[in-house]
Amino acid sequence: MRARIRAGDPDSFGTLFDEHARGVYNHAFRLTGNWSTAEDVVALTFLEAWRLRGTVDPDGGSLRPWLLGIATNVARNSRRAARRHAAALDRLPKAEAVPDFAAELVGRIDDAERIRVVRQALATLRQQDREVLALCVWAELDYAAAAQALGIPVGTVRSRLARARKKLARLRNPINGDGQETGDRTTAIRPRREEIR
Amino acid sequence: MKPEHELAQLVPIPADLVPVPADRDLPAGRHRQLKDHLMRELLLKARPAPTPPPKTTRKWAIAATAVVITGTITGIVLAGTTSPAYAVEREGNGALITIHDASRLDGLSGATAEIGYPATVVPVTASCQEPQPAPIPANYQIWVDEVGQETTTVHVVGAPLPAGEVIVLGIASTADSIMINGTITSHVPSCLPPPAA
Repeated sequence: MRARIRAGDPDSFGTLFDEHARGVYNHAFRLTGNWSTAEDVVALTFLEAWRLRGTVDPDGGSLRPWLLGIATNVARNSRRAARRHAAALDRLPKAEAVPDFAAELVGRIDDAERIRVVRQALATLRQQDREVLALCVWAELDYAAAAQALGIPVGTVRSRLARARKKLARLRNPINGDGQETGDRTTAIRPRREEIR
Repeated sequence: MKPEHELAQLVPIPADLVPVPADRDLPAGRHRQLKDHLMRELLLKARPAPTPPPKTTRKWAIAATAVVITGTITGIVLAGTTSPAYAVEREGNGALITIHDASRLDGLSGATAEIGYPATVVPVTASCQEPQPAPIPANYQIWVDEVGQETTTVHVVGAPLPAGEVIVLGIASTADSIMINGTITSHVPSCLPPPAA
């Protein structure tokens, strides 16, 4: 597979898209907080993958870390990527109206609200730390895969993740305004639940 | 430890908003749409760029009307006076018309008809009383790319045109450039008006 991707075999890129578009889509949503933007990131990620296919290591396992790394860069520099592929984006068909499946629609709105709150909480982190967190915690890449995705040493992944953990731990105390207790507990106490929709 | 549990420890947010949303599929039909777009783009990018002819001082502008297709095509053609004036070939599920010299397209109709995508040429004038071309049908796509300063490619994606349908290329010889305006219809106009603003 890697050899065919490196060689620029369109059919192999089609297979790659089928296998990983969903993962890229969800990673992009978690980084951008917007489902529609995430679709654009998917399109740009695979165009960028084609442009960067020569950088694929001939040996190795799944190309998922490579794609998630590209998606991370696209989400970070979306305007640059959009400029590079402006003509292709112009030809991208507009998304058709989503059928009015109430549960699906409500679910996506709910997702957007959840991710907004999470991203708000993570906004205090440096962007590079947030990206490592997204890859290691949400996308479940191990340290080596995250390092491969971002093109950084494994030690840097560890240090960024440690820094993120440390900062978030500091933020967790004292009281966060939702009535949670403070202390040295390791899990958050569930606040009185209120209807969120 | 499951990632969402790890995040619950890390992020100081209400516990009932953790974990982050579960993965979702791309909206219905969008996966196929994005993949089709990617495959078309890869086929374009895999093509070697044609060598542009030498520059000339005379500039021509071209307007294209495709007879039975969808949407409005926009683009600019600046043509030279040396051969080859154009090239016509099949491209995937469609055709590619490469125009180097918009002043010498006499044989274009025959060449395009041979591959199942007949095209004809009409002038584009401000005084033309013909109506703006109708939208391109949904089962066709036409777009225009500039390749270098004096070469323009017209891409047609879709099955060979039904009998009686024609792609029309309108040419304006006095302007430096003009927007290309297109549709597909069985009625071949004597001229085309400039695209509506």
